[in-house]
Amino acid sequence: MFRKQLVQFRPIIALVSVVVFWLLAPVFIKSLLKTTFYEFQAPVSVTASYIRQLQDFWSGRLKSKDDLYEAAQDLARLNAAYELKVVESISLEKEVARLEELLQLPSRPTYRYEIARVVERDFNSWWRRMVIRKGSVHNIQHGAPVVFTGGVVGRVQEVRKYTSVVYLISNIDIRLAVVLEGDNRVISFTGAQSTAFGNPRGLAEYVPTDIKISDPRNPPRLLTSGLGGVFPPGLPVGYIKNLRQGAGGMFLDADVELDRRLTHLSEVAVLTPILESNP
Amino acid sequence: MFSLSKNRWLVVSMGHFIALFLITQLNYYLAIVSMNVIITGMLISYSALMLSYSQGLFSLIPIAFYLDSKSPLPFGSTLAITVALHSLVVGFRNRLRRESIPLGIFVSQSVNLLIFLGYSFFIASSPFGHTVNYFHTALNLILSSIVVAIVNQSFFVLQTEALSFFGIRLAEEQRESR
Amino acid sequence: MTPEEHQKYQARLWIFYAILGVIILTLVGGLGFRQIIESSAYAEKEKRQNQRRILTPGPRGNMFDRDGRLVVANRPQFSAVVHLSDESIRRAFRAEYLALVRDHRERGEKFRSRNLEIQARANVIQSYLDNINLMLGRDDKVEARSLSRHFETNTYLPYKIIDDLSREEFAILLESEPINSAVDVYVSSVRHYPYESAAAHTLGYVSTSLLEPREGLPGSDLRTFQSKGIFGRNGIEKFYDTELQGSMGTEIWTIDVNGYKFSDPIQRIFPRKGNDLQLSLDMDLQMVAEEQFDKYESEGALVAIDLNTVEILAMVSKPDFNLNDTSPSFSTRAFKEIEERGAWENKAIRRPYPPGSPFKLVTAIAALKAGMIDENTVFDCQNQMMVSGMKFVCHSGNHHGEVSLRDAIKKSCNIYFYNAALKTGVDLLSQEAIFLGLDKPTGINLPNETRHMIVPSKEYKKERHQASWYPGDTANMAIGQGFLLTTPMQMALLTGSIARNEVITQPSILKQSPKELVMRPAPRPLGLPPSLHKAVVEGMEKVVQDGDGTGRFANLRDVDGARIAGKTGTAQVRRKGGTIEHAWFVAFAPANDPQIALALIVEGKNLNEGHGGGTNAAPIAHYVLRKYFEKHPEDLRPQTPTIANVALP
Repeated sequence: MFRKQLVQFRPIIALVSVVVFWLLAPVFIKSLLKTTFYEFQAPVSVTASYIRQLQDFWSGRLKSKDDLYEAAQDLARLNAAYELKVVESISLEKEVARLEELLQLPSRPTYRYEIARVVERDFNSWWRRMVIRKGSVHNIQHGAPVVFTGGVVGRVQEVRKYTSVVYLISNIDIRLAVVLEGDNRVISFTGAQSTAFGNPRGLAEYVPTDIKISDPRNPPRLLTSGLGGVFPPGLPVGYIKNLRQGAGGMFLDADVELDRRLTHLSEVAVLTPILESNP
Repeated sequence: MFSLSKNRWLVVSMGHFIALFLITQLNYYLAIVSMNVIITGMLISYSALMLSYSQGLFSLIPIAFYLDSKSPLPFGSTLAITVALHSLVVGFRNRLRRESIPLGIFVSQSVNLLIFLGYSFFIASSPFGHTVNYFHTALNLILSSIVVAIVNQSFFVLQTEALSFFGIRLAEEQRESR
Repeated sequence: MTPEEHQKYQARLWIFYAILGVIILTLVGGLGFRQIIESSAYAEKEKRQNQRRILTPGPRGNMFDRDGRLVVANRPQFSAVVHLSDESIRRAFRAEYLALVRDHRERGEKFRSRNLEIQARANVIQSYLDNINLMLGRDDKVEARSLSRHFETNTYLPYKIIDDLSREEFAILLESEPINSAVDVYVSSVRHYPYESAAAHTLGYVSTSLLEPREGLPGSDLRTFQSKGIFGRNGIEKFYDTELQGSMGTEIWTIDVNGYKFSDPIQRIFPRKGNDLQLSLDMDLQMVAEEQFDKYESEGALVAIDLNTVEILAMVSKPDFNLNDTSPSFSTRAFKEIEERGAWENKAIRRPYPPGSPFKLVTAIAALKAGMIDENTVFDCQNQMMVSGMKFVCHSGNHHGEVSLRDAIKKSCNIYFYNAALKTGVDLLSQEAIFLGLDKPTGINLPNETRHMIVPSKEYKKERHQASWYPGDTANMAIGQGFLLTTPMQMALLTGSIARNEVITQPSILKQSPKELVMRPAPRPLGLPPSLHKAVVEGMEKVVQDGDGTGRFANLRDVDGARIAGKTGTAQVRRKGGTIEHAWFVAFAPANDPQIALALIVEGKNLNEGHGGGTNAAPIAHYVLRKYFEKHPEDLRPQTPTIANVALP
């Protein structure tokens, strides 16, 4: 009789046992379990990304020779333009180094770019994150900045063996010290509420009150300040939209429209600062 | 000796994992429009309706850990939600015709809804709770419900077929138990 | 049980039922009373117990000069703060306290709980601060007592652990501190004065204090925590404090039994910035004037007025102080240093001086209006004359010979004005000075204008000095000495009145809108016929234009082609051991169409040292007027009527 009653309550007993066990379980056990389960499934995700890459390759193969020829021509033109830019950049770098030496300024950190494919995209109303195909074996560091051709992508939040988790800048728990293009006053940028079918968004706080959106087609652009020590300066973050009274009454708050491409990135670059002692 | 019949949760768990993998691939493309599909409710529904309580629980625990390992919520949140919902469905299943297809869809949808609520609860109690766009959450829920409605029957059939492939005939067992 | 017994028990049972019924009715009634009748009172009590109000003052308005340049602004002050009401912080306090108690017990040491609580709080916050110190390369320490005081009295206000973060440090914290960390970045506004000490007395400074919340803010019955606000202590900051003051923001939070805030406020009204002010000051003129004072470390005052609008263009008072030393906090050292230098006083409106020779213009006007002299009246100056048996001399031992009105003004001949005043009499002389507004404050929109200006009269002397008025007193008064006391502000207005041949009053430190200009009180005519007015003005022109005018050294003959009319003066003030001479200069320009009037005084530094308006004061005016006409070349041409001109017919 008692046994039969106990069987009836088994689901509740099991539920309570699981919850109690989970509350009392030491952190290292949780951590170990998390890592184990993550690493267990990682190869599957990575394989899927390779398959997608293969898909892309084969879809490329299906293109006509004319298309490929035109694409190659465009690429050649771009390459030529970039080569010029590289030459210009080298001369500018030399000039900067000379000025730094002259003014006895500390040299600005240089970064190593680690290009990584996007394995998973996990964008919902609660968080926006992606898994990339580079991990601790590739020297990816926790908190490292992640960028793409259009500017800032986000920061590395978790580093696993072969993969890393990147939080997009549209996440509320990412904060950047940014500046407006042509201005040097520090503005705080954080991610904002998600939206479906729209551009990712952010929120700028401490926007000086003299900032105006004079031309809505050409709104003020936010760039990384480089002062926070994480992101190099001058990387595009987004565009200021809808200025409004800020919380303290002294500054404005602004909605920031981020790059639309952030939602369908397939390749990003993780930046790792190169220390002077380790050239 | 290892009996697959007594460890059928392994087969079911593997099936769940494959379903999740496929949905992850779907989500990769849905991310372009910031949408996301969750089908965990369907997995819980299958385990709770088709397996015994303990087998169902065993089949769901690895899946919950897998989901937890990829979620920014505190590790164990999905486990707590999953076990609670599994227990809830098991508590009610004796009053239901488990083999009914519409009922399977109904349970999957209901559990999926509760998962959305559970996740929202965890997020809302975090410091960033106020930043959740509930309209966006509702859109994701609707999309997830549509996907579940479409694939639920096939998933149930495929899982059952997979079990029968290993000699586990759920329909017969259920008839016998009556 | 027998039927009798049963009946007995039945009766008892009925009594029990009745008692039970009464009790239940009482309970239900009480419950109903509490739930229905007193529900609102309980709801109110619950609200008071569970809700807290936080008031945040709004930033003050900015001040701009007449050309729109920012003169007083709000500067962001970046701080690192901790929210002491955060659950994690409180838990950490508790854990640290228990650890300290355990340590003391293990060591067998006696302890006071209160001290350990303070220590525990300081240890926890210091650990947060150590992390920041490491990040920023600083070495800040938590002050345990101030932290505990803040925790006990201002729990819901952020506690500043570093309040002077640089831009770079602020940026590092923004990117390095997790967004949900107990340590937060915080930006408050502090007053900033881009021109530092320029117009320091006019602009005024501010202090911090708890401000009175405005009426109508919600939650006035709740327990309130309030950040300190800024209020004006002096100058425009004080006079226009209400306008500049921002409106206070309010947040109402629900708290749990342990005093933790729930995640979002239930009501929030953002603070708003106060109104901006546009001042009448022209910072170009102000800076030029200040530079000239500073060049020779001169002390004194200067006031320049726009004669179309009666707005103040420049107001200098030396010595002064750097307004940025007063904000965000005013150190005792800086306060004492200002006090020692005697730099607090706005001499332009606070300090009465003997007006000296510029008052001779009033004497001339009084005599002309009384018909005692005319433009051709001549007096013979033989350097001295006897008045009631006392010898009165002309200045510097000059023998001017026969001098007319124009020459008397040009050469500042004392003998001429002694004669003119003696003929006119003290009554008319006083009356004229009063008519010109020298007996009362000008009514400028600045605080603390002195009321100690004196226009003496027979009655005055009798009342204040219990003595009769003698002709010698009249002679002294005629040349701006004796009992006479005026401020530089009054002298500037007097000069403007002479320039326009009408008495102008109520100068403004704010730039006036066209509507405000129309609303201004209409000036009274001075009462001089044009020919006599012309004679006075020509005399003043000669002061600076002629080679033997007293203002000839000021190089005012050619200020961008403007004709300048002026009057120099030296005011003697008796001190122990001798006299101090203050150098006066008043002027207006262009003489044919006055646009600007100014008055300035340069104080003598040493006893018995020669100090003259022509050499010490007038050169400063040269630079100010040159800057004015450099900016307003159109004023050198004849003017067409403007709104201001219409307002001042």
